[in-house]
Amino acid sequence: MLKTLALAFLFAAAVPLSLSVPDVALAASHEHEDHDHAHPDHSGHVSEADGMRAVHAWTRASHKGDNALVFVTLQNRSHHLFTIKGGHSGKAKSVELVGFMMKDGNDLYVPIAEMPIKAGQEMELAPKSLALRLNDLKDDLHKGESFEMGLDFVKDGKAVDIHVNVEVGASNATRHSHAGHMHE
Amino acid sequence: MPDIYYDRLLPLWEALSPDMQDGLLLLFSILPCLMVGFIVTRGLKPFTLVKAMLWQFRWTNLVFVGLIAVSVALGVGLIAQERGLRRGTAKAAEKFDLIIASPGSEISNVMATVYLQASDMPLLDGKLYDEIANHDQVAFAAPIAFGDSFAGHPVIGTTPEFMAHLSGDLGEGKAFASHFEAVIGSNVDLDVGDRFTPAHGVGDSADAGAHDGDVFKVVGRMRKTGSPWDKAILVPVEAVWLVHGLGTGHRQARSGQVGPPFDPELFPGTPAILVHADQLWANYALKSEFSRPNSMAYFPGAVLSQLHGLLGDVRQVMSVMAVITQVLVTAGVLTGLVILTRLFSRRLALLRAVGAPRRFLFAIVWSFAATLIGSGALLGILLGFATTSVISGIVSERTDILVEASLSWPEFHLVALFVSFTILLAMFPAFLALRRPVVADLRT
Repeated sequence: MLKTLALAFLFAAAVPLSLSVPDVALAASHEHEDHDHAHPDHSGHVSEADGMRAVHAWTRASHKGDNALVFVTLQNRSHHLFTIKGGHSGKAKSVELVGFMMKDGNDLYVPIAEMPIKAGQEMELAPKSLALRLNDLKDDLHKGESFEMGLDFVKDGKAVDIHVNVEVGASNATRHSHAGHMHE
Repeated sequence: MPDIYYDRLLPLWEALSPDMQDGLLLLFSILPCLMVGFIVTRGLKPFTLVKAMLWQFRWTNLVFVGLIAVSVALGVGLIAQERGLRRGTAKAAEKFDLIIASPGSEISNVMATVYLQASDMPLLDGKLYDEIANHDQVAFAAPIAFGDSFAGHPVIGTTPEFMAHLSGDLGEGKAFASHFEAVIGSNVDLDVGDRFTPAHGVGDSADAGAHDGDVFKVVGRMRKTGSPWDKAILVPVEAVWLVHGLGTGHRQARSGQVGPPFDPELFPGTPAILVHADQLWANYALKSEFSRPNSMAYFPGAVLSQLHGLLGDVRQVMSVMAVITQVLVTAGVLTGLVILTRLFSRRLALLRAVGAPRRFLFAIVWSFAATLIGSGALLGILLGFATTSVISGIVSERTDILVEASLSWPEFHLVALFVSFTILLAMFPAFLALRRPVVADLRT
């Protein structure tokens, strides 16, 4: 409420700026290198490449300009070590892997450079744990929508790009709408 | 077309420092009050008369100011505790990166392991402990064995590494180096050199004679941690096993050893294991790896965060209740003011009779009420600092968690909103004063 009032006040100062400052191109600079790609299955809940499965990706309804956390279960069914390094999405200015920690009694998600996932290991990116953070959303994320984003892995020194379908839940959602459903 | 709100306004707001944002929010909170004051007193000089009225009824006015001040002080003092408690509980848990225990309730486990509210829990076996302790991403893994006590102080079996991790350098004495040596928390009523025999269990049901003959000697005292561990007595985990007739966890040849490595086959079991990794990411990998059907890995910080979410809701309710209480007190004060205006109704009637405009009289009464409210709120903030400190001390004493609450921006915002709202309400007695019959008041 207070923040809205303050923003309303700043609005007057911002209007002249909005007329004078040129738009900054925010186009994603995702370069397509020589690497593997995978896309979601017909249900949109599972993506798989080289034995790495990404299941039930979801996020919460959020506003443009905010950050949003994406959660997904990663199952390494291969015999190789996979390392997740982050992700990419046209929905946000940047995507990074983050980990939850508590600082002075406040929740904090700090960047993590990479996360190895051993052969046979399942890694759950979940609230108050690991997550992929969409920084500075370019548009609102509405409940019920979904969008595609890429997860950046490295396997045996080679980049693997797995595209997942991210379901947008309620702003206070704690799990994917199909959490608990098995996908074989 | 650019989205002005998100593309221009929000970045401007976010470019401000947190203090500037809070300062602006305070300004906006108090703005209605300033605007009303400007409009009501514009072009008028009511303050000489207001000053005279304040002085003439100074004792009554002091009571009104005092009532508002106490109401504000109690409100902000209580609300600030939520933040203090949140920080205090987080600080108490910050040394507990990752806990591995038998599957069950994470909340019960965190209460037992971090906050030492002992409860019965299944034990983890030596094979699992060995796997954790020898994991290449684990810096150290410490068993935390509880269940005994002395004079109300929990006796915790653990390792020298955990003690160093918890307290750093000891405040006094040395670390335990043999089985029946103990290191006490900073608030334990024992001295280095004292001896004690623990009771089996905790609380009223503890069996004081169960470990007769097992005498521990206090060899050191930890520095203050601000956590319930300040009231704990730390002993080698081998001693906890020994007094329960479970061996030492080591082969005969190394039976005097304190701390790991333990023999997986002789390891008697532990209700919880603290796991410390050097890398942040490793904690997540370990949590994933040791979340199994026979073990539960969790971050105490994440459990606390859920509890803090609940505290946040309580804070919102408390904030609303505090404001309502303050407004009710102020409404009572304003009602008193309505009665008080009767005392100087003759003077107001005289002013009207000599041609003072109604707006001037309105400004006098409003300024009088606004001064009482403003003074009460300011005094309330000053009292609030003292109240906050006193309440924090009581909470710390009762919970063994160091709560260091202090007033901050959220409380100032709350007081500013309260002042703005009640100063608008102060127009009510001013309107009523104008409606008084001039002739009748002149004759009184």
